[in-house]
Amino acid sequence: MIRGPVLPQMREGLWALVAGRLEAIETGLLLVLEDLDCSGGRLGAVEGLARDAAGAPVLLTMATDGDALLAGRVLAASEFLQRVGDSLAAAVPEGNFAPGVNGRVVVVGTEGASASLESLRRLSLPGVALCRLEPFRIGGVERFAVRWLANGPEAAAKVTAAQVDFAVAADRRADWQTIEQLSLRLDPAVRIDGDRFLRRITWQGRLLGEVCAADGTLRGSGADGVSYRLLSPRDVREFGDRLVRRYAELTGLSMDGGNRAGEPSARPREDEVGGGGAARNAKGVAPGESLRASLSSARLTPEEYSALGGPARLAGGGTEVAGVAENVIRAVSAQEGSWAGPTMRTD
Amino acid sequence: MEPDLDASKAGRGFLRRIFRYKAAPDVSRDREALVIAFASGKGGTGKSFLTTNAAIGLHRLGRRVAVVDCDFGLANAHLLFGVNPRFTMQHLLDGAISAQQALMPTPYGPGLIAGGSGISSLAELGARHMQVLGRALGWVAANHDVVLLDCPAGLAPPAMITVLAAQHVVVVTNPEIAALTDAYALIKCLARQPSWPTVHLVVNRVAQPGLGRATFERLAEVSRRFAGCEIHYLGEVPEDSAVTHRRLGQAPLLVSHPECPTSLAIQSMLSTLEKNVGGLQMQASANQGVEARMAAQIRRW
Repeated sequence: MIRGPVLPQMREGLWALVAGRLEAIETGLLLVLEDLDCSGGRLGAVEGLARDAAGAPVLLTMATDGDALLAGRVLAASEFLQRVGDSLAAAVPEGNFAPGVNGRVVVVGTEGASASLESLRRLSLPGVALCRLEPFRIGGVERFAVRWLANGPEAAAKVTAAQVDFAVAADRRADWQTIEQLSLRLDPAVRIDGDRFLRRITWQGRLLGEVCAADGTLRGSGADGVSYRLLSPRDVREFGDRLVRRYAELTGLSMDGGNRAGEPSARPREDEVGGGGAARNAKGVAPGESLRASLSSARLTPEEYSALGGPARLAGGGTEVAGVAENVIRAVSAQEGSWAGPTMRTD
Repeated sequence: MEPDLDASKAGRGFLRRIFRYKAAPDVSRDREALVIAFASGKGGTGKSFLTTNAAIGLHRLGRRVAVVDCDFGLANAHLLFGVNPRFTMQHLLDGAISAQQALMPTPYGPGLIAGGSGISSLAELGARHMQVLGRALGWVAANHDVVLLDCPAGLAPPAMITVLAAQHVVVVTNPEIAALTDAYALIKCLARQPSWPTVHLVVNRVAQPGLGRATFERLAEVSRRFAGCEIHYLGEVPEDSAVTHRRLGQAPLLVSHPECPTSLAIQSMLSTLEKNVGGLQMQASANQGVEARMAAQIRRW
């Protein structure tokens, strides 16, 4: 029997589907915790608390047909975010929420919940985004596209709290502007906030560095606590370099292997045994390449088989050579689903 | 009150809601355990055997050690420890229990989070499961000196994420060509990542003394030349019929035969590892703990 794609019609089933694919709802959305009750148990819990790419808290709730408490739950969630404000970051430290960024509520529904979603859309609630999942079937697998009905990601709050002027001395203003521009160019999710004498530079709520204005000078400090006196353009460049490296560490773009805890990635790995870090990343991954792509591109070459004692050195002849090659190809590519050949050797 | 695990399988009962993602006690993350993954490209090279015996060896050196059996679905570390786990990785990943509940003591000292047997394939694991695992590892790392991850064979993303969450990876291989090429495939995949753990090599089931060193030298040369990755030699473990013919229920080798050549090789491997990593103990974690490392890889998935 041929059947069309079907999305779960119960909240819990729908949430189980959505929770595993938050990236499909919005790029950078990361689940922090589940089941947040913000209505004192009266209206049920919202399904998830997530962090978006800007470091803002996002409450996710599912809309299904016949959910009479949906509107109340969404209103309670929206009110909760306004009520708790920045203190949510302290209450849920594992969320790494960026300070000063407004949270929002995202309601995810299906075709069956169209009426409920339309009612919510008419309310035009600020900070409440509505989307509907459009299921389809491709290659025998069900997938869904996301159709935004109100306040989609492009309209997502990139709103920061009103900032007070940074009390930087006039002759140091150019230095500060250099750091500010460099930081903001790194990534749209980089935020700069703070008070009159201190600016914190964060990415998705994680500290990149701080700049402090005092006694007519600027002083920077990295996330590792190292201080920099910003007295010359060279000092500014050094500090900027520190910010960029910290950003690269956090985003996984760092070209420095080993991941030794707390160690600045820029530092040469002199303490590493056997000079392990010296040749690191000689054949490294392209910046931004996904894990899956990097795995599939790591296929072994004939030269590598040969150097390992494969085809060129084996005296056993074609069968064994083919077996070795298959074994390697199987190891590298079977997980990608592209292995269709016969298995000549098994473990 | 116990978690309603049956309810967790069937749907989402009231108790499941209560126990799911039960917050672990707040722990300081200033310092964190040294996390070492035992991995191999090919299955059956002796990862679990070496992991469990290394854990016992480290425990005898006075370290607080935990073994996390990440061999999702094909777990056997609990068999080697001779324990019958009440909760497994499956319960943990389903959110039915916390890491604290999943961690069980073993008769030989190390703690164990037993692998699940209900997860039929790595393909069933999604980002959400890996996030749960990352949080659990964060808690385990905050409460131990050394955490050993018994990783699954193969190069599936969940397996690689687990390896990349560690600070050091011990690649376990055999001197045969199939195991060697698969070990190299793993090393090459690691070297393709933006950052990767320091790679160490153990050659297991070595029939002739010195064959392990020769195997290492060949693999090290190829890794350096083609993958740009340095690997470090930990030693060879001899082929031993006492290991091959062990029966279920027997104590781990390091306990039952502490003076046999295999046990001595494992102890030698541990002392080399300790020398290489500069001490098998808790280290400052700052913001780069195991949970953060795993989250960084999940974002790239």
